[in-house]
Amino acid sequence: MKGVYIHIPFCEHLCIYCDFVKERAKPEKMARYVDALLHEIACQIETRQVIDTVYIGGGTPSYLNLILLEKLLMRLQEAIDLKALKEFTIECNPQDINDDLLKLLKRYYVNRISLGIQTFNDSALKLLNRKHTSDTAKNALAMIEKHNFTRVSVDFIFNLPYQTMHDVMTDLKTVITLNIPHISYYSLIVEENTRLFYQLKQGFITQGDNDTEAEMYAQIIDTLTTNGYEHYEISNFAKPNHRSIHNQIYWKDHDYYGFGAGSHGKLNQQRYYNYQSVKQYIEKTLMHGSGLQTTYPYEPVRDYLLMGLRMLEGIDLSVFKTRFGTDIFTLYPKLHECIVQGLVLVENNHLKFTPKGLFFGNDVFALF
Amino acid sequence: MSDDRIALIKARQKTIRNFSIIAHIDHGKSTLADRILEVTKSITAREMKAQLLDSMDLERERGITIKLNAVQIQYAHTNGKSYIFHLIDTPGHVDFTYEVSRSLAACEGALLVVDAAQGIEAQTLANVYLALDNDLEILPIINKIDLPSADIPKVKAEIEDIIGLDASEAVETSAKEGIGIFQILDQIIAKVPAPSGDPEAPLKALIFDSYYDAYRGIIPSIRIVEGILGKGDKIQMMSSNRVFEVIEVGVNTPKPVVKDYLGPGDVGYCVASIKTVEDVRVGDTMTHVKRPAEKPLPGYRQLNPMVFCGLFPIDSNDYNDLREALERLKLNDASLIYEPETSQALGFGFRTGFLGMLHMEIIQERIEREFKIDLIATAPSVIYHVYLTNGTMEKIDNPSALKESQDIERIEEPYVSAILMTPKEYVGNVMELCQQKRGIYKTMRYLGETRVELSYELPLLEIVYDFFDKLKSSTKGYASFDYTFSTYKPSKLVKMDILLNGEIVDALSTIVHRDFAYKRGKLITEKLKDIIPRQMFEVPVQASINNKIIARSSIRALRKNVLAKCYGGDITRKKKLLEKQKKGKKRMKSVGNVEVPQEAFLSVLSIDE
Repeated sequence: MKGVYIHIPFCEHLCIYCDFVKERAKPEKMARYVDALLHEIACQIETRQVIDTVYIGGGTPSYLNLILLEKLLMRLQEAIDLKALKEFTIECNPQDINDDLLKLLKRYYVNRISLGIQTFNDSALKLLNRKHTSDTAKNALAMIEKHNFTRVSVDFIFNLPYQTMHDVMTDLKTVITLNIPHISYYSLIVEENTRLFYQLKQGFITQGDNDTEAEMYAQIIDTLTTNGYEHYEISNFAKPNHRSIHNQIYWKDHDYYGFGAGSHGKLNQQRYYNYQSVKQYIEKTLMHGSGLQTTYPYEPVRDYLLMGLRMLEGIDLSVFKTRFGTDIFTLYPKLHECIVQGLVLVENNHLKFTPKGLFFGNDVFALF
Repeated sequence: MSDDRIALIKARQKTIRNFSIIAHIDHGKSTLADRILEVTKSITAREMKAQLLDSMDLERERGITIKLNAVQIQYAHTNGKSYIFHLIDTPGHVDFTYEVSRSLAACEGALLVVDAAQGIEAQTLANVYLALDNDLEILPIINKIDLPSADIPKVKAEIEDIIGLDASEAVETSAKEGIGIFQILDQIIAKVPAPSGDPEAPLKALIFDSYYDAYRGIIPSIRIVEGILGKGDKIQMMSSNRVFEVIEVGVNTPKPVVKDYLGPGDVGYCVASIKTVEDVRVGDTMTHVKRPAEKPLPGYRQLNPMVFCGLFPIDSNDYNDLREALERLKLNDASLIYEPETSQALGFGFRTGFLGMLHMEIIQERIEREFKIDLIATAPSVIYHVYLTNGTMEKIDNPSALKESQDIERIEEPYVSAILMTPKEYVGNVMELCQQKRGIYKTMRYLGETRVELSYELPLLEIVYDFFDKLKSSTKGYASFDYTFSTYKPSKLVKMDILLNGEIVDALSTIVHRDFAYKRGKLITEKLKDIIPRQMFEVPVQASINNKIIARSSIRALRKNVLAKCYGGDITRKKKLLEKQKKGKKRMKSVGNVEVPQEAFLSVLSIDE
């Protein structure tokens, strides 16, 4: 398996919690960026290479205007056989969804749309500086369905400022009613130096504590799993056959290209990332055919475990032994303690989190 | 030694001027020292690091001088004559009063630097008194005259009213801008007397500092008062009677320069293969074995630590490294003492004694920084005199070592005499604070129209706690304060234990005044609840006196600790977060099965009452 991640670092508005590489750019800069991106892809992907998944993320890929987006997709097709992809995902904001966009995406074999809804609560959306409403989101979902995109994922966030358990339940009910097949449900992560960080620090807004967060997480798991969703990764839920193939490339330690500013990749036992500054990325890429800023160590066992254990199916112990030539418990004897503490268990020759362990993943990850 | 040589030494002696700089923190001492070095071309611009005399990083960061340094400066005056200045730097903090007094004793004069905007502070005053005790010629200098808030006449009046010095000829300078520096040099030449010692008398050399050199041992900094010291001389320390042979003498310019001999008035160093710092006591007199001086120089005192705390390595494997670190620091610092201590909660460590709070902080920071050992320091304690019912007295510097109350007849604690100076609008606040801290009021006097000097007797224990911070916050930072040990007095003191998860953590035991015990117990348990991170289970926190619980709180269990997001293939974020959590854990000590962070052990110190 091999994936391609493409980063579009532009947004119309900046959400208060986001610390990804993104900026509000002028159209000319976006055009130059797409040129650089296409140059990088053309230079880096060997012809006739088999690629299994492509994921265009951001930023906001849907913020590119249709001409630019079409240029990107058309040229992408020259490097990658889009029709043969197992999965081709693009991230969109609900307010960007319209017939023309969806037709374009369809034409280039996009078969999965990831929609950044975050919540159906309008006042929370406003506080996050999101520019859509719950109605916009519902309309977008309806339009996506109308255009026969069967594979849809939505991003949701819990433990938002002022969010109550009742609010979470409302979001969950709507998701279930709308029969959305895939949900990434993240707890709000307060990254340093974001607007959210300062607003919380200065006490302008408040957020639930660790108890609230745990209770909400438990409620989410409980509600979704009793309504036909498989909880297959710490923060991801899917109806049968709707799991994200691309994300499993990360979790199962396969190779993936990273294209675009600030993107990360992993190829041939080597990790790397690109320049984060859009300006620098464009300059370097146009000059060298790559925006690579630096490589950094791939730690085979550690990376395998940090990513692999996120999947609820866990780590196949025989596969682990074959791959690394040693038993996992010999390598990490402290795992026995985690079993005693009830954080992990061995079942069907797989090491996996217990339901309790899901809440304390970092305490287990810290062993590796 | 030939008569010609003696004559030469005497002639040279007339050109020597020895002086220190007395100033409050931030009033510009180091900057002035730098300027003097600069205008006398003692160092080239290239060598010029800001504030050269403060050579340790820590000093530079904190803007204070801890370690003494002396520099010889050759000054060719425009009148054609040449002079030799010795600038002897002094530490600027109350913990090091004795060292200050000894470096002042090595001088004939002192520059009193006062900030033109802020006036005289208690610490400056304390040092001026030390200088007056040593009969120094004091040259007032008004610094920072370029500040918009400078009030030169007011500061001059303060100098005259408070200290009783004539300020009419005070040099007005801005060390930062280089204004008035030559004028200062002229005044030093004109007003500071040349050293008076007789080169033909038996040797008397004052040790005012020492430093450790890995190859040459302990090297004392000395001021020759009488006689001549040269290479090959057999010398004796008059307090310890230890004998050494001099291998080298020289001066610092600031680079060391080897000399054939040092004569009266010279300030330099002496290499004599001295192995332990105990042999080079600051304040001691060095003399010749062959023709010893009759009496040592006055003023020698053995320094006793006033404040104690336990130092424990967070990683118990670092125990030997910690011992080595203390040994190394001790080479340079006779006032640092330590002995092994075992705590049930913290394992093996050292009970360590310091001159005061700053001294303690500096040592801890140096161990962490220079020796890379993560430390847990327990709350500082003073030495209690515990009188037992059987008629004996025990000195206790570790609260957990205090006996059961039925064996104790009474406990006495050390008091200090404190001078506090404050603008008059804060007198009420200062008095209230001293009252809260069990202070005994002594006197109050007005210093000019706007400032007041208060004197109190205060329990040292209260100063070791948060007195200084409280003083600063209740006077908007305007008050200053200085103290000296006065006496032991009986107090109603009790030991308060802290229990985590039902078990006494001996390292958290403190001795408190009985009247404040309930309040303090409540505050400490509340504070620990906030400081100790939530664990995977609920942890009760209790305070007890004589096995009776007086306060309790509880740390609720942590319920979720997992990174939600996978960030588009960016594993670095995940790793960073895990490293951060691991690092956080590394700074914690497992007590029972509770992870307790370093700050918790000092939490008893700073509680808002």
